Amino acid sequence: MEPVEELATKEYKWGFVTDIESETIAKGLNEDVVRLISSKKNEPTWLLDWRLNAFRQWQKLKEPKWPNVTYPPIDYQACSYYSAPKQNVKKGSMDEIDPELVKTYEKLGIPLDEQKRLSNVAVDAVFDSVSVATTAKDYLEKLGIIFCSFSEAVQKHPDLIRKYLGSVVPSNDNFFASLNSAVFSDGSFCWIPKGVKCPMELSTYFRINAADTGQFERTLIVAEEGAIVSYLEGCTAPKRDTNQLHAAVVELVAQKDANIKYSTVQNWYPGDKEGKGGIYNFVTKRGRCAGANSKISWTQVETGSAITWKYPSVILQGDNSVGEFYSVAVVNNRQQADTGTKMIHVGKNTRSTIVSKGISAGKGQNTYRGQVKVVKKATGARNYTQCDSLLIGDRCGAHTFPYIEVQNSSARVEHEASTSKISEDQIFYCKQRGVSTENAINMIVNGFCKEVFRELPMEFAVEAQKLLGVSLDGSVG
Amino acid sequence: MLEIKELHASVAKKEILKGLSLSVKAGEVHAIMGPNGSGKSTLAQVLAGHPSYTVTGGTVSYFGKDLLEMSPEDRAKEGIFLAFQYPVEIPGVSNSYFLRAGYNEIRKHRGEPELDVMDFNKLLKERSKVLHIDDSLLNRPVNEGFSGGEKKRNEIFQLAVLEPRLAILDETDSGLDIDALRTVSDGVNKLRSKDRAFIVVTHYQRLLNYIVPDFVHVLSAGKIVKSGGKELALELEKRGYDWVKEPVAAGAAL
Amino acid sequence: MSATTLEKPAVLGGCWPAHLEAVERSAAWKRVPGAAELRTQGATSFRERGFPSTDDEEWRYTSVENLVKVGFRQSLEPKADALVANTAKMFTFGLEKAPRLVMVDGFFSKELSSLGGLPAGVIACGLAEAMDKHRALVEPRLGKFAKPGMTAFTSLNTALFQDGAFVHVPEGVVVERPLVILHLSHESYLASHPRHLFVLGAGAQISLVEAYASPSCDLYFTNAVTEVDLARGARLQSVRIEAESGNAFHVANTQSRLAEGSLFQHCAAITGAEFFRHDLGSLLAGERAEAQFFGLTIASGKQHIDHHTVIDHAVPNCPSREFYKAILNGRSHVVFNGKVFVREDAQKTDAKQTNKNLLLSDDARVDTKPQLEIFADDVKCTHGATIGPLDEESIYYCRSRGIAPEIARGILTYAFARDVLQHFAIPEVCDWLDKSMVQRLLDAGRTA
Repeated sequence: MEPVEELATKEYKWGFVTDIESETIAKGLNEDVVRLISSKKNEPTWLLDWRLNAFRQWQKLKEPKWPNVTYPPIDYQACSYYSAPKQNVKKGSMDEIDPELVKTYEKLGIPLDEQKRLSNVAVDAVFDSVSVATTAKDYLEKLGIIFCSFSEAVQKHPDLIRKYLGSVVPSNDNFFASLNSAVFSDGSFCWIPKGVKCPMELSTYFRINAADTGQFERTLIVAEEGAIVSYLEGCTAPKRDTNQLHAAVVELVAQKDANIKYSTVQNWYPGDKEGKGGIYNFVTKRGRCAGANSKISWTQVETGSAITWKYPSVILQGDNSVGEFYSVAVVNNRQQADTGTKMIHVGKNTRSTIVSKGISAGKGQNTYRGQVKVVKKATGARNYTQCDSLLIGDRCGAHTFPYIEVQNSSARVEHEASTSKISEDQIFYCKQRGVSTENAINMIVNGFCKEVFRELPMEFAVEAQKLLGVSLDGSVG
Repeated sequence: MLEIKELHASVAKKEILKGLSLSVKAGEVHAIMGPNGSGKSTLAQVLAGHPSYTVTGGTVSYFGKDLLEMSPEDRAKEGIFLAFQYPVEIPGVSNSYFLRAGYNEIRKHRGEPELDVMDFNKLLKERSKVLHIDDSLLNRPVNEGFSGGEKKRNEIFQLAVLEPRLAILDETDSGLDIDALRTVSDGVNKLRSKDRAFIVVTHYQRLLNYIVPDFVHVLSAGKIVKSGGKELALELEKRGYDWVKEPVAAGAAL
Repeated sequence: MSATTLEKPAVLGGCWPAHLEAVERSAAWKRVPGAAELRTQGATSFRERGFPSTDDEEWRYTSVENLVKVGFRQSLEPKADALVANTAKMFTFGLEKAPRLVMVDGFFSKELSSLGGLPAGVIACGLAEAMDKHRALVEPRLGKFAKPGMTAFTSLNTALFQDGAFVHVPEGVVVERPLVILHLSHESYLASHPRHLFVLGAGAQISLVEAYASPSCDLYFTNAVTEVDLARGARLQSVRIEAESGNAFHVANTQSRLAEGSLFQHCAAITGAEFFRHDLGSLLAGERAEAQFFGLTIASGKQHIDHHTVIDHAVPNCPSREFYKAILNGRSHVVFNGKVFVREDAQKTDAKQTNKNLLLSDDARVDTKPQLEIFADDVKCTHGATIGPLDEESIYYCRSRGIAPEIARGILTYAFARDVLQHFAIPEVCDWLDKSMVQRLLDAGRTA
């Protein structure tokens, strides 16, 4: 189908660089760097010890080789582990933030100004290694909700941080989680008190700006008994022709009857058509349904990054707890993604649902890897997994690796996977009805992803649909 | 034979039947009609003993016995047959094997000797001929890969083989084209007898052109709101369910 | 090979280095010059890498620890035994009059085999004999599909095999009656390494029963490797029957190459062996070649049953089907790992894989990994896996027809098995399996 091939490649429109004076520490990683980061954040000794412990663990760990992705070896000494805009002291009002930063976020569609801010969304803006602003804080505080940068939480709520940090993803969990635990710089912290339903979407917008730096943020969300919260994250980075490392850790804790919904629209710079540059997105995300009747739901739309390696997971510990994973992962050009989830059923009558939609185009390689585990005492566990791949073009790949492990005879686990392509007949049919090729593909792809998009908060769903269109531009042949 | 008094039943903690009463005598054909969600299928499943439905009040007596105390298989042995709206598929079990298992259980219950494979297959052939059912159906796995029409015909065929005293047809007409509808109703009509009663659950009057009922009951919001003869069905066809629903709804609303 | 296995010393087990040395000194080693080279490759690969650990992705759920611990004996000479003749007669699998090729403890037995009645041109004999007399058929194929270093067990088999079955059906010949290939294990603590090669010429057809059995409840080890080469339009339908002793270890590797328009159907019925691992692979090398794998496992006690399949769609327009079912009782552990590759340009591939598991005991465990690796876009690939108890709606349906719940459970368990058994080739064998293996399930509900 010639005309389909001709679709112009649209630029990655978030690829600009903000010209701002930053303080970036020297390249390389050793215990002194860990100490330096900790001292810059004025951290208590216990946290420094925790970091150092993680660093020592990391030195013993091996970079995982099992993901279905290939990349040249990463030189962990060749990047800087901390970079912050010079004027990084948090100010009481938005007027005092560097206007360059405000402009940057505005350009990204995230106004930080309280008057202009998105209605019903509170934003924590993370720029390279630090949080530069958090909106709607005061309003949330009145409800008892804590929503602030991780660094601020360490200062103001050390007990909560100490209680929950590493409680879901231990500092020796895996190579990248350990690295993050040693050098994490900032991130967001949310705590929803007992019985409170957070009235607005909480969100963090991550932006990598500096060159040759890694971003290692850490997010921790705790919903106490009966609390309800919906959280969103978005990410972008400038176009650069070297690869940059992003190794984040996200931990969620849902107590009895609590409900956490976590949505991600990941749009890191994917590299160019030939696979030059782009972010290595190696992320550990995990939630623990600690209490009975709790629920954790992950929704992700992954369109960016040169390489994605992430498995947002749920440990279903409380009886009757519910875990969900809805994912759209798109790879185009030379992108590679190895993503999926783990649902670990421990409590009684726990339920999980996995819906994964992988779209491969160009020379992209997309892998779904998911584990469903039902331990022996998890009576009445239920899982339903649906895993669909859509291939666009004949030089891409779609791979499915589910791991289903069941040790309880009352468990019911179902897994289904299918593969389809956008057929010439479908496109012809659309064109015959006057729909352009571009729109036809958009329509078909959006239809394919519908079950996931409807899980996203409204504002995000629209964004995600547009993003998908841009990601796949020039992909169809 | 069947006496339902003030029956209340719920599924997934939601009350569906809210005080339904109905009396059925041998030889009678009762049609239960009503809009979607009125509780028609619930009634059918409760009478057959589906484990997901909980009876929360009222009584059902069947030949003087407490039906609600009986297990589904005991009800079947006592002659209650439900023709399912959505019969399940059982891959790997042939229709004839399945039916013989049920048939012999019922015979044993009645104190009659079990039939061996030969005799039973003879019986199946006979009944399939009467109902114009293709006997290739007999060796296929239960309902697996059957079309909607084939499944319904298979239910009626099972009815013919198991010879129940009370047959409940749950929306047997749904999803059938006119020819299939005729075959199914012909089958039912052949099986009408003075000892056997039918409860025909249906949304449309159409089926009642073929299976002419003695009584028609209209179910709405879990209760019988109107009863009458076969002409009631025609009246409903003309005026729609709102006609009978209104007085109840008006009472409930304000 | 992963870096970790290189760093750790290879686990070789107590008895194996000695077995290798003994066979290296024996006559078997040099029987055919080509084979000596193959054996050296197998031995070298095993000595370097040893046995796999559960760190190895392909052995993640199957630990060979218990097998490695055992000090097995080896046999370099066939043994004649009158007792064996009688036991061989016990295993007919519903095919009393069919031609039979019988092996005992890894050696072909002419006395116990009855190969009359095969059409002219068909060769059925021991592999050792074939390596001598039919070298032109054997040499280009042996070790080419199941390569010497493919797995530790294949390495061992390649180095240590003494004999096996060789079947050649020449071009255009259709063998009407099934051929039974029976491997009997008769000595306890013996390790045998039967090696089979089945070669079908263009358009040739045959049905085989590949059976492994023992009249005893001995502990022993069968390590079988089967290679299959199907020329254009050939059809091989085979039923694999595992009736090994309840204490036996059985590891097998079956690799096949399918030329254009050929069909390979492999049906496996597993009840015996305490430890069973089968790697089954088909390379669809010519268009419209078709692979069909069916499997029925009924596991109980402490049985460990592991099916690893790979179907490699290397060219366009090939269909493949996989349908595996397992019923688990006791403390049994069943593993299914099914991989489907669709190579670049293998357009119009139609691959379907289904794995269903019925867990009847709380102490049983299922691990399943259905995998798709797709590099072409115009393909129809699906896989589905289910694990769970019997369907409550189906039990209710049976009850509403007068069937008691425990009988309904029996019927449904039986039906679960029949559903896959009905696809098996060779009707007589199906009936035999139904009577000997599957009908017992009708009582399952009463005892559960």
